[in-house]
Amino acid sequence: MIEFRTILLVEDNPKDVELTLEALAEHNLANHLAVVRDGVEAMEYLRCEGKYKQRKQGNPAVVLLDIKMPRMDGIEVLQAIRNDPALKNLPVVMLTSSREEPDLKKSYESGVNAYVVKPVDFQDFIEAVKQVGVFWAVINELPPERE
Amino acid sequence: MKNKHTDGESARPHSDLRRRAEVSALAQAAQMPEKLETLSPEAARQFIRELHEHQVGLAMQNEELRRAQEELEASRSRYFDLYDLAPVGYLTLSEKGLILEANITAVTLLGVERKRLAKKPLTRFILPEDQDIYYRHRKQLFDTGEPQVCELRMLRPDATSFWARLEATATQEVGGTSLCLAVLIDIAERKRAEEALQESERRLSSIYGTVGDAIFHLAVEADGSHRFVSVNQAFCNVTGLSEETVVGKLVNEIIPEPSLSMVLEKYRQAIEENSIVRWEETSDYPTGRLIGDVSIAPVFDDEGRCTHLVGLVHDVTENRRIAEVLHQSEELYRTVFENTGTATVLIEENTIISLANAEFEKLSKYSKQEIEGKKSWTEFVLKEDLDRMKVQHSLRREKREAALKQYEFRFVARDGNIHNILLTIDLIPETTKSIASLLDITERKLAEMEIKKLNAELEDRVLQRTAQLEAANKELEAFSYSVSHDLRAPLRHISGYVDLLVKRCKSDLSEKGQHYLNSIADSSHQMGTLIDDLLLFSRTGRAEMRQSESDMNGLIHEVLDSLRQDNPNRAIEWVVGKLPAVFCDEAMLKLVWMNLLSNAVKFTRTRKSARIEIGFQEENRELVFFVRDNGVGFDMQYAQKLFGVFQRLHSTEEFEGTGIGLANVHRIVSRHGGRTWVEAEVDKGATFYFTLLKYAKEEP
Repeated sequence: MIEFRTILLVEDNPKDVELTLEALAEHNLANHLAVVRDGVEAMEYLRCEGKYKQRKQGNPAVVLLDIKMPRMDGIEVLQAIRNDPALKNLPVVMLTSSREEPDLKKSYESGVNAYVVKPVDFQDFIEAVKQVGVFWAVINELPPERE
Repeated sequence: MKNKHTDGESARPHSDLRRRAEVSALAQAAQMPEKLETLSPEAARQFIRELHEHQVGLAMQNEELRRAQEELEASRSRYFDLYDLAPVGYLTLSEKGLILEANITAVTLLGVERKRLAKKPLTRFILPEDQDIYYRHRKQLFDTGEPQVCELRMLRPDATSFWARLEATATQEVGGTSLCLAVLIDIAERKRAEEALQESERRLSSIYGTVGDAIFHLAVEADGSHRFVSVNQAFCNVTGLSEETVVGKLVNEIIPEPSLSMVLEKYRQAIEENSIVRWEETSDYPTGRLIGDVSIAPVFDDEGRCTHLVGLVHDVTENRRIAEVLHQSEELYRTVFENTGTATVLIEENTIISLANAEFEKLSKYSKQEIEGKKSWTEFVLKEDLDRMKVQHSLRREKREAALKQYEFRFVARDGNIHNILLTIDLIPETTKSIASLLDITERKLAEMEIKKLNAELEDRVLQRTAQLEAANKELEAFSYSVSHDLRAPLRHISGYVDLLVKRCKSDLSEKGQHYLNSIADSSHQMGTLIDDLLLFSRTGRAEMRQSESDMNGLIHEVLDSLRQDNPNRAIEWVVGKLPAVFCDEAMLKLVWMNLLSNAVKFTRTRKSARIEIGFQEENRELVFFVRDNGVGFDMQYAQKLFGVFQRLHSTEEFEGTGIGLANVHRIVSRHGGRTWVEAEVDKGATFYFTLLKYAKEEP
């Protein structure tokens, strides 16, 4: 049996969250999704701080990061993850509306694992989200938790 | 002295006397009485007394005779001394010219012993060249019997010669033979003096003839008039009068009035004062106007009468003319110096200003009287600038070309005001003076500073504007970002929810309602494409160019592969020429080809057999690429619009598209320094051209 691991979606827009959930639901991946609303919350989640103190320890299979967010944006989150010894190997995928070169460049320089532009067309969007979800949550082997 | 005359001839007078005494004694003896014993004692005593008296008389006579003889001897001696020791040589010559007698002087002159002289022909002692003179001299003597004189050169046995004067007289000897008595005088000294005189005369005459000054010689006549005796060549040259015209004429025949009166007055003055009189005279001669510095010297005879005047004319016409020119030139330069618009000074080696003009007075606020010869230039220089200027001052005099000819310094005027001066300075050739002109550039300096200030302000403003522009650009980028992100997101949401609505609530919707939803989906999709294209276009303008050598053929094939995949059902005849390598941003160029070729594919869609040709031609500095199709073409009057953003010549129903492709082509080609244009005709296809600069491979 395929083991589904947790996907952390960092997304400030509730419509995007809803549509992403719809997309994942079509592939039965929705139940494994954890959603936070911005970068600060994402870091609290990953470090089990603030309101996530009680969360069960352990990293998600992948972090799906939007770039443009209030407080702490996606690239800052990525950099914080890469600079944290406990999180640095965590797979991170940018899931964003931007295909601007500076965003791409900064993301890859900061060690992103994949960069996916959200297609405007919903069918395409569903397809993209499904592939990302399946690949990272199911197919990909995770790095060891502790070195 | 007696034994000096012991030869036979000089003894002759003695025997002569003896003979006469013997004759006289015999006569007396005849008068004596025959018998002395016959005489009475008285008579005897008488006779003895007489005899005694006779004896006394005889003794007295004897004494007298002896004295006469002594006197004669002395006279003879004196005669011989006179003969022998005379300062001239005496020679007695036979008729045939043999030397019979010679005195000591002659012997000394001829440089030979007396005994060797005897019976020698005189010709042996005459220089061969002068033998003729002697021959003629002797012939004349014996022909005329008159005394003759000649001058010839005598030759000594030691081969030396000397000039001599020979004076000869012919006499008849008792025996009827002719003798020649000759006096020989050494005239070497006189000859030398004569030659020296001749030499001196020649010299003077050559000087007289060649001297550049005109010289004339006047005789003062008994009536007081002046007659030209001689003039030199220079006189003729200067006056233009020939020697023949002048010599022998009176002064008043040659010199016209009013000069004449003046000249005569000067002559009179020279004679009266017995001195050289000088004056300057301007006369008109055939050669033109002559300005002469004239000197007249009187010559007096032993009686103190002025017999001659010697005049000298030094031509100063040229000097006067040069002086005049010089004067004019100096006037000219002084006027220039004085009236030049810049302050100008003449500086001596000791830094003193020897000359200053009116402008310098104005600048310094000192008067010329206070400056010239009194002030040093160093008094007008700001302390900080002084040292470097002193260095220049010295350098200029040591190595003129090394010194600066123009530089700036700060000038301090009397009132303490400081002026910025542009100094132009140089040494006057062959002197240690320098001429300096001082241009007051204070105003200019102020203007320069003003300009600098304005420039700085301008730069500030430019920086400000640049910053503003940069800010605006950032804003634009932020806007693009916002468009890309914020506009796409709602579109995606529309698309998402429309899709969900169709999927989940389809049964609740009427057909019409479904049609509306389809329209919403179409529009949101189209809007998404428009936004993507616009962002792409924005990126082609902003993206950094990454140029390198690119193989066009490879690019074309990548594009063609992609097009064939996208249009699997199209039958297109591709005519692709071999293309050259170019220097470009490969990604951008790929976009150009993609746009042009997809257009060609798109607009040949209605053709049964589409034909698309890709090629290039080489022009001077450019490579001209083209894409030719046999598609629908268009009306050339809209060709201008074609490369604009969102400009379309066909409806979306006919041919889809946002109208951004050719705008991108145009922008990319422009960024590569090329041009784009198009040739087309409705229904006959179109040819799109673009150029790139030729790629010059660097030589290894």
